[in-house]
Amino acid sequence: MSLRDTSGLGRTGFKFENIDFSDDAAIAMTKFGTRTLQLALDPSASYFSGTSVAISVDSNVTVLTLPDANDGLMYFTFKMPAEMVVSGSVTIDIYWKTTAITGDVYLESKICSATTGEATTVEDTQTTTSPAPTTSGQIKKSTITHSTSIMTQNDWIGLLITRYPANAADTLGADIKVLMVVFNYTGRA
Amino acid sequence: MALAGITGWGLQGQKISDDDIHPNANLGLTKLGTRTIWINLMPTSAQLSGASCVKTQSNIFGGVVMPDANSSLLYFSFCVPSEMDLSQNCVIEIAWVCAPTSGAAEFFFSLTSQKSAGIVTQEVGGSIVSTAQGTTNRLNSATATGIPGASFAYGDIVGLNIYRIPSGGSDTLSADLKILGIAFKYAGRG
Repeated sequence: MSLRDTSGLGRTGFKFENIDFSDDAAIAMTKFGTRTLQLALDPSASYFSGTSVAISVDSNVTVLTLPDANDGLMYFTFKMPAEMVVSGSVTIDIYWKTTAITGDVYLESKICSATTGEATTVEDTQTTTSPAPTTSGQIKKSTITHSTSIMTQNDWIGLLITRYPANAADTLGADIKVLMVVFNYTGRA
Repeated sequence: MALAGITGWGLQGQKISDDDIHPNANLGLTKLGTRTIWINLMPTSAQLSGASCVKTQSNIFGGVVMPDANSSLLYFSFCVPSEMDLSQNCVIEIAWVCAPTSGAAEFFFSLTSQKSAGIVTQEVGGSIVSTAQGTTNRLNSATATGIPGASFAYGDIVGLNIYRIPSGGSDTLSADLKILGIAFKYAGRG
């Protein structure tokens, strides 16, 4: 006879009774559930390009300036975690600050998930428009969402984050400084 | 009454008898097994050495050029995680691309692992020959397997040097290449 109501055993605090077990029953434990995990991507460790896109220090934090005068680009490469749950979506959080207190920033995220023998071209493009913080110098978070439908565990991920100040949606008349880019994904518990 | 022989329950396949379980006992589970964990080492964050060994990009991937004209070296440092299973082997994987559709690149690696008062010497070294893809700029993967976990200890500072010597006999790729990613794989607790 096997364990009774095996599906319930994943609940913390579930109570066993003698009748749940036969003599000499063997038990194997499987972890349940998921958790949100973060992969921090330091902008100063990226390959970046664009006039006046440069590393500096702002209040002890290393930042990368994305100017208002021209496009600023940040390229990252990382390996998709083996424990990623490929379902739903991932989010890219971009933390930035600026001296302006009005206007919007327009940011774009391009992503590719590739394995050996595959092309490294763009598979998904998403954008976000975020208003400036109402207090000068306050940290702002912009979030962009990508579907996991293009992703596989252990793939190599290419991620390009760009600010397009000439885009009509970018009405913030100042440079921004990017403090951190965070890749949020669902991993197994 | 508590569960009998509770220290034995961490073993998968342990047999349970009725006598072991008190009515309405709460059972605490210990995690079993291991899982695969990658430490990402972005080439764009490495210390670079060698002429024309510079940051670059390939499509939307960041990377570093390893030229065909001279040797180039990338240096990384990281700590050995406390959850690493030192009894299992580790893997280094290098993702790279190139324009040619024939030839092979040879990547060398050297690993050191030491803590305070230790002397830095090479623990593991070797090379990987990786053949170009048949289509320009398709992703290649060069993998070094069988790196003993026993080479490391918890809390050690690991130094990893990845380098290319294009004049070597096994490096038949007559062009620059771009390293896009490097990852160190280990077995962590379950």
